Amino acid sequence: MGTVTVAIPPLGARRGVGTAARLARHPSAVVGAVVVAVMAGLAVLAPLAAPFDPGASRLEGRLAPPAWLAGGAAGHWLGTDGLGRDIWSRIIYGGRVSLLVGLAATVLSLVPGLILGLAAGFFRGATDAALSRFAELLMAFPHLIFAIGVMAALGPGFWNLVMALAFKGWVEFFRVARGDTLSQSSREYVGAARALGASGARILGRHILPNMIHTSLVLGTLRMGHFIVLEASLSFLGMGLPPRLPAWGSMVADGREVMLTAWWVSTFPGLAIVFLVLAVNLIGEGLRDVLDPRLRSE
Amino acid sequence: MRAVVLARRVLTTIPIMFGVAVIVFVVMRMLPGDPVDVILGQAGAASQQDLDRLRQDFYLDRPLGEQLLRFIAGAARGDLGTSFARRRPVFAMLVEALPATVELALAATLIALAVAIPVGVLSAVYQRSWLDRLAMGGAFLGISMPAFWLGIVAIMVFAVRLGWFPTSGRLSHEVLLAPTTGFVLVDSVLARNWAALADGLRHLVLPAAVLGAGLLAIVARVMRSSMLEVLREQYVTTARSKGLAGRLVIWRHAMRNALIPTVTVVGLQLGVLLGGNMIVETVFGWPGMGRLVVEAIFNRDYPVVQGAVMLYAMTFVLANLAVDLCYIYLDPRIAL
Amino acid sequence: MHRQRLAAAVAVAVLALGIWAPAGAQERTLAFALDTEAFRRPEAEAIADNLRALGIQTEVRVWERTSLIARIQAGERQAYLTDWGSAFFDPYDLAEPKFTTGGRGNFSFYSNKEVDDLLVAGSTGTDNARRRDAYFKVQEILFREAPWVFGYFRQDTHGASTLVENWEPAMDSRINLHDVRLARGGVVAVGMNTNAIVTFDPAMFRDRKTETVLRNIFDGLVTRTTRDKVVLELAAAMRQLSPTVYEFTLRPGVVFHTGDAMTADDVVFTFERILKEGAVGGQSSPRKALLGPLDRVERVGDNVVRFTLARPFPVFLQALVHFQIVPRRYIQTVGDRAFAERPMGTGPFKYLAGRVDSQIVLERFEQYYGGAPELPPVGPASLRGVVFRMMPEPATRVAALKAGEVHIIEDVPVDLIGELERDPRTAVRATQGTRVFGIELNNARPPFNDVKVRQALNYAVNWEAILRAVYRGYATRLSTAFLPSGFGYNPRQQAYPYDPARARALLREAGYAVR
Repeated sequence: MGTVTVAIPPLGARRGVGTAARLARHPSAVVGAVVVAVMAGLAVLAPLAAPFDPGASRLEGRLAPPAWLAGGAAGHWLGTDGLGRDIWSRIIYGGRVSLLVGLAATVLSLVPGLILGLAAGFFRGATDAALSRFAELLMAFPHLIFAIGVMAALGPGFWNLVMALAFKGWVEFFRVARGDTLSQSSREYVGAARALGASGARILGRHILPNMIHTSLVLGTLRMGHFIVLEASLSFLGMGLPPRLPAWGSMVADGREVMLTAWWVSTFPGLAIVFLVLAVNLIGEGLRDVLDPRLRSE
Repeated sequence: MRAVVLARRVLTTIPIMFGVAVIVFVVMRMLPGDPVDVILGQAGAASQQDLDRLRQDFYLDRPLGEQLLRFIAGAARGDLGTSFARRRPVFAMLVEALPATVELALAATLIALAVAIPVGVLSAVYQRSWLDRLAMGGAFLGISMPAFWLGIVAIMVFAVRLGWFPTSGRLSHEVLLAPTTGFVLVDSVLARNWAALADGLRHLVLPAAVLGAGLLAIVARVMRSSMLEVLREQYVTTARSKGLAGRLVIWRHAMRNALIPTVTVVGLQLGVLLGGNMIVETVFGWPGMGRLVVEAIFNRDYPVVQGAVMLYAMTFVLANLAVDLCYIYLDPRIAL
Repeated sequence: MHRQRLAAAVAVAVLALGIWAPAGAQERTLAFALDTEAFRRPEAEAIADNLRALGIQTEVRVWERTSLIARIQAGERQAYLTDWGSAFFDPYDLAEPKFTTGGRGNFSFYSNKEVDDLLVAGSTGTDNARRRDAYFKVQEILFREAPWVFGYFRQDTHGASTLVENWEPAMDSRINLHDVRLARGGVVAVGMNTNAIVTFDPAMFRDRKTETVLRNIFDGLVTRTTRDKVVLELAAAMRQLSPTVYEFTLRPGVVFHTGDAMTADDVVFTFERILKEGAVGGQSSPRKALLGPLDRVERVGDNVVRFTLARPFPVFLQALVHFQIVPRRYIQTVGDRAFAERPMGTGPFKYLAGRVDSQIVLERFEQYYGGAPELPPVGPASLRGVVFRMMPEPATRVAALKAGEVHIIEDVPVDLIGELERDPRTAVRATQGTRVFGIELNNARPPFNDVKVRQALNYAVNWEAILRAVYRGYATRLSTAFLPSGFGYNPRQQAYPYDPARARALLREAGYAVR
């Protein structure tokens, strides 16, 4: 290995500009971005896009199958739920809540997790020991149990839910970021950069971060789906969001009792989650390809 | 040198366990709700005398500091107290419930790894092929559909329609198997009860597959992503240029390195599996820890929650140790 | 690039605003939070819809049960969907805890001296006609003062395989497997709607699920028909010597699963274990309050036991149904803890194997004395064994019944009833439930300290439509919080009709804007 030339990733301000442009040319990133944009657009324009009022129950038309099935109710493309509310309209409105839950919880987990992970992996020693022990302490509480505890203590509410999700969520990002930083710091190019007299901050920001951030982003795209699903799990246990905020996760949970007879109630919101997670992952994949310096040098 | 590092690492578990004990104690008492009310059936149905008698039984009439000391001193001796609801030693309850959970988690992990690693590697090697797309698409269903949805669908299809597997439970009631270790598979082998072994396996398949689905998806993604990265590394290119056979490079050199992030993720996820599978346990009527703990939280059964969280903490600490050791083995460049 | 970022920021901001958009605030609008547990969420949302139609701002909140009750008891909440079970078929354990001033179960903080006195007269009186009059009066007052939005009771819906013969669900949720026959095979499996039963010790639980299992292992002095009638079981005869003294003669030839004959000593031991502090291995039984004013239990002869009460207690026999006789010698030999691991009773089935949180296997007790003569068939059970499986997920219970793994399942959700009725191998069995469901209002705080507002709400909810749709008719409207199955129910008392016009008028009188 000693004879291998060490590739020092190019530094420079060109990166920010280049990233967006390259991302725009990345096929899967574009597909993902379009799907997310459509979902976000529907969510923002929900009052215009939804054919029905998502909160208007019509008890006599409850659990109607999708319009295209035998016995389906006209106009309800994805059927109605246990209170006769239009599922398609609720999915559109639910996008508001679910996107925000996923986004807020992911950002509130990723940012602190990444920063602390970088710090622990780079400075090592006491910083690493303290942070790692604290992370282990939190990891010791299983996520769902922890979230149940937080929700039971705080009561129902949007930000209470996000808190319950993110309070422990950062640990995973921390662990991965720390591991990657440790691994990157021992690489030749970091040594080379040090030898060239680069400062710690510069090495972290310009060399290590770009080389490991993709793992966090990939994880982030995975976690975002996980948070949305976790909201479903909390709803399953009866501790989700207030009903005024239809969220995909709680919609899936709502339909669980009638899964055997009215499968559409939970399946379609579930598919909405699948599409969202898929799209976010495609973006994540594109980001990784674009940000990964070794790929770029190819 | 490694022994010293290891010893220091082991010693750090003590403050962690202490911290966990204090936190769980405080958090449980912050939850609104009176455990004695819950035990008495419905809050408000009890006489004051009843309430007082039970508070005394559970030491809930003592100052909080004393309760905490009692818990920590007990835990240090391995005595986790007595369940409020079931009036049995918490330790015995955990010992009973743990094997069911571990058996399920291990089966799920095995299923997940057995599928995910080859899929991840192949997806990376044949990046952007139909195989890659199909595998990754399937992975999203695994991650994104809540476990209870997958579980109920699996029961409907494989248990009710096709009749291949039982809907729920760990063993059929016709099969009598005296618990020695509590692991159905181990016990049935020990007792040479092959019917029980087959029955136990049949019961294990659906819950393990559903529980493993999320992990499978995650591992396949991480494996693919880190494999892609490793394949672009200099030394792989070098090895390839030295004329090593492609397959050998992939399976021997590249995969070993790509396993590092995977090990991290599996280590973390195993903890999640051990703690967070109460939904699968509920859907499949699986008598494990997850259900026990969630029920205990709802019942404000402080000793059970405290004991279970201490057990999780212990598992985590040990799993983390194992992960660190794996790092050393897999990548000698990392010093602890 | 910058424009993209800006666009993203705007999108997030709009999303955020969409969630917190105010619903149009007005002057003196009646606005409150309607609290519920998850299982009644659809009902709560339908009720909120009714109220919104009148211009009442109603926000449904879903809580975890124990947190919600704690907050209710602290007086922090306004209106809450709650339920309360009655085991004694009497207002003694229903209206009394719910409406007595200052009671711990009085979540509505309702307070009326006259009602307090009438409830005491009802539960301690010895003349049934006068007790009934007292309860009729209570219903009248409750209706007028409307401390709750009165609700309904449900049918308990269970599922059974068509192979199961001679089984009828009981109103007190006992599953009497002694009488059951199976067309094929000799073992019945029951899918229980619970995570776990609490214990095998009849002195150490308060929940119905545990009792459902234990009453197949243990018998009591008396038991109940599938409805509300109390009949003799282990007792051959009962005499009431005075309003406060009951004497039971035990049935001869009854043996425990241990082989010991049951005597008066076992009966005395059973009740002393519950009455005395710390009598169960140093711990106290949570069941004492259920025995009301029972003061002491004495052995009068080898097979005669006398119960003495501190004051008259008209529901004493209904209460006794829930107390199972345990073997004194066995418990004193092996200890309370070992007894709870390996229970021994006098019931039709004896414990074979199993755990409280997975499955419990019982086998037929061949020396069974036969059971209550008034509940034929009499004699050892026809089934070779029974299995109780803990299956907390309703869809799984239904699937297991359809797959033939279990023969009886508890609590079929109403929306799955059709699924079982369509299947020729399964059927739904319903019985009248003994739980009152309603909306309790916090009478101590505005806005519900105003009786007009409370009455308006009672007129504003279209219960008939909600019960028909959400519970598919498996629920029946109640005029107040008295159950038709309980003593002292006044069938002439009409429920509040759905009358939005009157609701509007009352709200206006109370000074609120209406739509």
